[in-house]
Order: sequence, then C-alpha cells, then structure tokens
Amino acid sequence: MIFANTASTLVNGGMAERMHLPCYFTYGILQTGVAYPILSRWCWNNSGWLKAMGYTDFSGSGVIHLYSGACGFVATWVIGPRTGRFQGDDSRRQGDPIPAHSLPFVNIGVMWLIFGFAGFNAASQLTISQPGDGYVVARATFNTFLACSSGGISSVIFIRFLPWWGRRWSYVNMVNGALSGMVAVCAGCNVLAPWSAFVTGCLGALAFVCGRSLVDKLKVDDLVDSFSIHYSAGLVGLVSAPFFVPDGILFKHDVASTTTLGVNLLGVVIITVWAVLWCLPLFLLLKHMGVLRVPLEMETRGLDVIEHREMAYHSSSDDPMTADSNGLPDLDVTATDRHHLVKRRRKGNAVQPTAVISSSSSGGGGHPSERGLSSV
Amino acid sequence: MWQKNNQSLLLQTELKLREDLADLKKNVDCMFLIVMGIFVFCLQGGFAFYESACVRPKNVTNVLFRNYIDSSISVICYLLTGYAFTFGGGDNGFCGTQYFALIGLPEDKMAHCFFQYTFAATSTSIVKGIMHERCTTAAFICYTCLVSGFIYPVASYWALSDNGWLKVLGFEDFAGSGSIHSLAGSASLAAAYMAGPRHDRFEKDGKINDIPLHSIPQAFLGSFFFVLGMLAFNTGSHGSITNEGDGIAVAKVAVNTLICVMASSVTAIVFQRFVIERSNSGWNFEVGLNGSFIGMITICAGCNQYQKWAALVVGILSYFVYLIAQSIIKFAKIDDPVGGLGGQMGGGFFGLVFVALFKDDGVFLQPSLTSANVLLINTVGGITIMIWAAGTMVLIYIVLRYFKLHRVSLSDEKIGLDEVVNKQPAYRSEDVLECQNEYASVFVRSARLSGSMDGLNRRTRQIAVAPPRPTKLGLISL
Repeated sequence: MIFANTASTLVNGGMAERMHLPCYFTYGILQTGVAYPILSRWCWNNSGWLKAMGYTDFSGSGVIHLYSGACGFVATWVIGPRTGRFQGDDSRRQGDPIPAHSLPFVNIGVMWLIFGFAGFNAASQLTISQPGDGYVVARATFNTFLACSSGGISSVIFIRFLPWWGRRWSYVNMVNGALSGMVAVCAGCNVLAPWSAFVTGCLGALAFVCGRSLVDKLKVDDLVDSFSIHYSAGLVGLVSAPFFVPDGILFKHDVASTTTLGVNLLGVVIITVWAVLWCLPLFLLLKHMGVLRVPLEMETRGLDVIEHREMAYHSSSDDPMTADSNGLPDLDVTATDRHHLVKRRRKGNAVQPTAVISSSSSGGGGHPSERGLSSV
Repeated sequence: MWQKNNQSLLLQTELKLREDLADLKKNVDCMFLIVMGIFVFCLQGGFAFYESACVRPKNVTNVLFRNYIDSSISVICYLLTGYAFTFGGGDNGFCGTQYFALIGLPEDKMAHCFFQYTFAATSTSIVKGIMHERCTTAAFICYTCLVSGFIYPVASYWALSDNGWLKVLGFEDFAGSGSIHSLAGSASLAAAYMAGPRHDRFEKDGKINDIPLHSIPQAFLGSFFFVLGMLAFNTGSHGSITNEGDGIAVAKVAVNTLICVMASSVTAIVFQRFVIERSNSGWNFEVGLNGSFIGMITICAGCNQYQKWAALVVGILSYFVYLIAQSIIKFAKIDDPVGGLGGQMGGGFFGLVFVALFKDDGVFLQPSLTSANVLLINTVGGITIMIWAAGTMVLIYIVLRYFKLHRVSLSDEKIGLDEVVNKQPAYRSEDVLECQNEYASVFVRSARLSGSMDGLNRRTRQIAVAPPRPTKLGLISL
C-alpha cells in the first residue's frame, strides 16, 4: 500500500499550481486502485508473467519509479506548462527558471526522502526471519546511501562544469541527482557490490541531467522532475542492474544474464506503455471536459487564496492584534498595549479576535470553498 | 528402535531450532544497526537546519549545500579508506590495514560498516559547521575528504579497535565523545584559527559583534533532529540487541542520554535567566538549545556506565564547562558561527574525564589505582586525539594558505556565498509577498462589493461579509 501511494504521489507533485482538485481524486483512485496493482502483480508476484520471464527489480526502479515518471510526464505534457514558464528571459538559467521559494524546505523534504528510501529499499526484502535476511537488508541500505552520495556528487560536478547549466555549485540539482542515484540503485541494491552501487548512482545522476535537458527542450513543465529523476534514473537502473549484479553480464557473460537484460528492457517498454495507456486517455478526457486545468485567473492569483482561502505565509499585518486601521503592522505595540487591546476588544466590539481567526478553518461562516468563485 | 527414531528426530529438531535462532539473532542485530544508523543519519539534517539558522540568510543555500555534499563525500572517503583504517584488523597500534575500498569485507560486517559511516559523517559535519560564511569550497572539500578518510578513522582506531594503542592502555569511550567530538572540535578550532574570523565579528577596538540566529524555528528543528540522532548514536553504539542483557543495557543508555541532555538544557536556561540575564528577566531559548548540545556530547563517553544521578550531575557540570570554554574561545578571538567549539572540544574532552570520575567503578565511587589509571589514560588520550586533529588540520591549512584558498575574498563574503558560489538564494521573499498581496486583494474586494469598508482589520471585514449557511448546491462549486 505504501508503495502504491508512492507511485501516485509523484504525478500529483508534477502538476501542482495548475491542476483542478477533483482530478487528483480521479487519478488517485484509478492509479492506486487499478493500474498500479495490476502492474505490480506482473512484475513482482510469483505468478506474474514478467516475473516468470525473469524480470529483476528488487525494490521498484521500474515498477514504481519508471511507471510514475512516465505517468508524470504524460500528465504534465497534457496539462501544459505553468503560465509564463517558457516565455521571457527566465530560462537563462537552465533547470531553474521558477526556483523553489524556500531551500530549507527543500532540504527537509530531501532528508525525509532519503530516510524513506532507506526504509523502502531495506524493507523490500519483506522478511527478517529467514537466514541471511539481515545481511541483505544491510547491503540494501548500504547501497542506497552509497548511490545517494555518488548521485549527489556526480550531479553537482556535471552542473558545475556543463556550460548551459550555469557553472554554479547548485544545491537543488545536487539533491535531485542524489534522489536519481537512489532510484537507479533500487533495481539491484540487494545484491550489488559497493563499487557497483557507486557507479549506478553516478549513472542515475547522468540520467537525471539528460532527462532534465530533454524535458526542458520539449517544453514540458515538470515541477518535481518526475520524468528526469524517476523515469530516466529508473530506466538506467533497470538496464544497468543486469550488468553489475554479481552474476551479471560484466562478470558472467552467459545466456542467463543476457536474458535478464532482455526481460528488463521488455519490462521498460511494458511499463511505459501501461503508464501511457492509463494516463493519456484519462488526462485527455479530463482536458476535453475542461476540468483538468484551473482558469488562468486562479492560476496567477494562486490556488491557496481561491480554493482554500488559507494562506501559507502570514505577515504581521494579518495579526488582528497589531494591525492598525489600514491593515499595516503597528510596530510600536508593546506588551502593555497588547494587553489593553485585548481588554478593549473583549468589552467593546462584538467581534472576538479568536473567532475571527478560527472562521477560515472550520465552522464560522460556512466552509470557504462552498462560497464558490462568484463571491470573489 | 521406535525410541531411537524419536530421539534422533528430537535431536534434529533441536539442531534446526538452534540454527534458526542463530540466524534470527544475526538478522536482528543487522536490523538494529541499520535502523540506528538511519536515525543517526538524521543528524545530518539536524546540522543542516541548526547551522543554516545560525548563519545570515545570504549564506543559507551554501550551508545546506555543504551539509549535503559533506555527507556524500564522507561516504566515499570513509568507504575507500576510513573503514579500513578503523576496523581493518592489523596488528599495529596506529591504524588498520585491510578492507580498503571494502575489498574483502565479509557480509556480516556490512551493517557495522554502515553504522560506523554515519559516525564518520557526523564528525566531518561538525568540522565544517564552524567554518561557515568564510570558507572556500576547495578548502571545504579538502578537509572533508581528509577528516573522513584519514584523521577521524585513525583516531577512532586508537580508541575503539582492540589493537589501538589507547584501547590497549585502558581508554574508555563508549560512543565517541573523544574520538568524534573532541577530534572534530579541535580540528575545527585549528581551521577557524588559520582561516580567521568573519570580517564583521571582531571590531578593531575589541568589541565583539553578536550575529544572532536568523530563524529560531529552524534552530529548534535542527536541535530536535540532534536529540533523535544522538539517542540513536548512543543506543546503537552498544552494537547488538540479541545477547543476554542487551535490551537492558540499551535502555540504560537511552535513559542516561535523555537525563543528561535535559539536565544541561535546563541548567543552561535557568543559569541564563537567574544569573546572566537577571536584569532583563530573559528566558533565553537559544541558550537552552546550546545547553542540550553540550549534554549530548558529554554523555557519549559513559552513558552505559552512569547511574541516573550521575547522568544528571554530568549534565549540570557540562554546561559550566561549555560556558568556560566559550569564553576562552571568544577571548582568543576565534570566530564560531554555530557556538560549537566550546561544546565539541570542552564537552568531548570533559566527557572523557567525567566518565572516569562518575562511572560505577570510577574515582568518586570506588577510588582505586585502576580507576585513577582510567582517569589518566582518558585525559592523556583526549589530549592526544585533540593534538592529532589540530596538528593535521594546521598542516592542511598551511598548504591551503600557500595557494590562498584558506578563505573567500572580502567582497565575496559581503555579498554572501549563496550568490557567489551557488547562485541560488535560499528564500524568495518576493513570492511570499505576492501571495500576501493576493490574499489581501481577495478580501478587500469582497468587502468592497458588499459596501462595508471601515477602519477595522481585514479579518473583521471577512466576518462582516460572511455569506449565509451553505445550501446543498454549494458543494458543486469546489
């Protein structure tokens, strides 16, 4: 269930800032209820046909990451870029025209992602009580961190020295590269030797850089880089695992290892086709019905204000205690003044400050979203 | 014959059960180390947040960048040479000799290797924390590689490995107070001294400018990750969970860590309120955070050997150690953006001293020649580790200074390393302002539409134009 959740989350992220809320629900239900479970049966269940052919993907490089990257690409291609993303001079710095608004938040997100990936890969062993389980879990976690590091370092070096990426030590692209490294190593982390995990991480970062350039060239606005990180690195992971595993093509070039490569490639094709088969008709239908994308006015003003009537970031000018008549912050308010303000408001006006604050979240004057756009 | 069959069946079953149990124990031990290692990795996030809160907003991206890449570089360097130096067998007292690049590493040591890597990453992270806002990228990469690949592993061999000369003499350091914290502290002291302070920290007339935290919530977030990570740091150092008595030992470690951390934190806040800031009745929060750090560091050395009251006493004493150490650092005009030098050096060294004093068979409780010997060897060992770290760091900086790479230029420092190195600001306030303007315009418009535009604040205007209760149709307009 957690794995299914992960698969559907990536698409939602890529379509932020312009997708209508009900589409999230439709897509989520179809994805986690029907499309993904069928795919994971083919690839991971002992009676699944891909698995029977020899498809090896330990913790979901293909089934989760390749799949959701493909879904994300299709979805973001259909919905179109955010307004103003590919126009004007902002594209001078490739890969970062609309940058993150707060890098500490990116950092905490990546930290939790690393945490999660470590658990993801370790837990893909599914048991801890069989002989040898502990060593496999240890190796998987070990390789995950190794690939994360090598992915981060490689992507930072690529971006520092490739001219069209800006020649800077880029933090955001470093962490994206690290995530790509982890995605790439998912396929074989239970058996790879440490040096192979390192190399896979570097390949994952290379895949990220290439995928990102491709996405920008095709003018697809993929916010969370679902294609670049998950599809490209997942592809690289699936293809490189048959080479680098201990009984792989580099060590024992025989029929069995080549067959694994062939089946993995077939798996890539099947997963991509499956993703396109489910997402393309769904999103085209939603787009045709006109409910996929929010109206331009709503997009420019921000979905927080219109859909939720809730702001993520408040300034002190919103504090009813310290705002003066123009709504600007009153900077000379001291503790005693605040005390008097409270007393005055409790005695005088009928409106209580506390009731005002809670009105936008529950009860009060009715659910904000139910007022409809016409009241704006 | 029937009885014989039964007996052999019983024997077989018993053997199988024993085998299965042994396998399960190995598995669970691996899992214990892996899970604890993953939590210790949280410390990297803790460093990222705490350090980025301590520097000015114009350097935050650079801090985050360095935090991340230092954990990546320390993976590579530690796995190439570090693990080999620390745990690579060998019969000399200086460093290990096998498992370079993990060649020949047996499968049952992978979990241990992973866990020890997280310790190396911590040590490396501490060093770079004190060097923020003025360190060049080249210098940073240089000392990160060397600390994680050579300086820390060798000192760790002395203190932890069976053949290490300190261990042989009786050095006691459970979770690395000495080999991690005092090593990192003295390395960063040397680096901070050689690189010099930030340009506006110490005025020419002797005044010290206090550069405050730019974000207290971020500092708090970092501190909480520290507590999470240090609990795992200490409990994981026990090494196994399947032997008899392991659970109780690990629980003792966890409880002692908690007691010490909270004791030093409370001491810090109370001392600050009633002694230092008595005149303005300040319950200073930042001081509480710093207090918790010193508690975490000092308890590492002996958390498996203290009684609970001893952990409390160590916590209280460690804060005073921190105060003294920080004043000495300030007096010596060494710039420390994150307030870590006093903690790491003072806490690390005194952690070693306190364990010899306060442990169950220590100098205070059972004074004897053995306990005095432990005190001696811990003190000497701590000083040696600090000299080793500082010395190697000074050598690195002599080379860097020759190439003029020991610090950034003054103009770069003033502009901010975000713009100069990463070309990416950490906070985009224009987006936040835009979103606030939108919010304002929505409600001003709604008030204007309904005709009420008085001098009340925006929220009351919202109430004044509150619509009637929603009807069934209202749900369609999502």
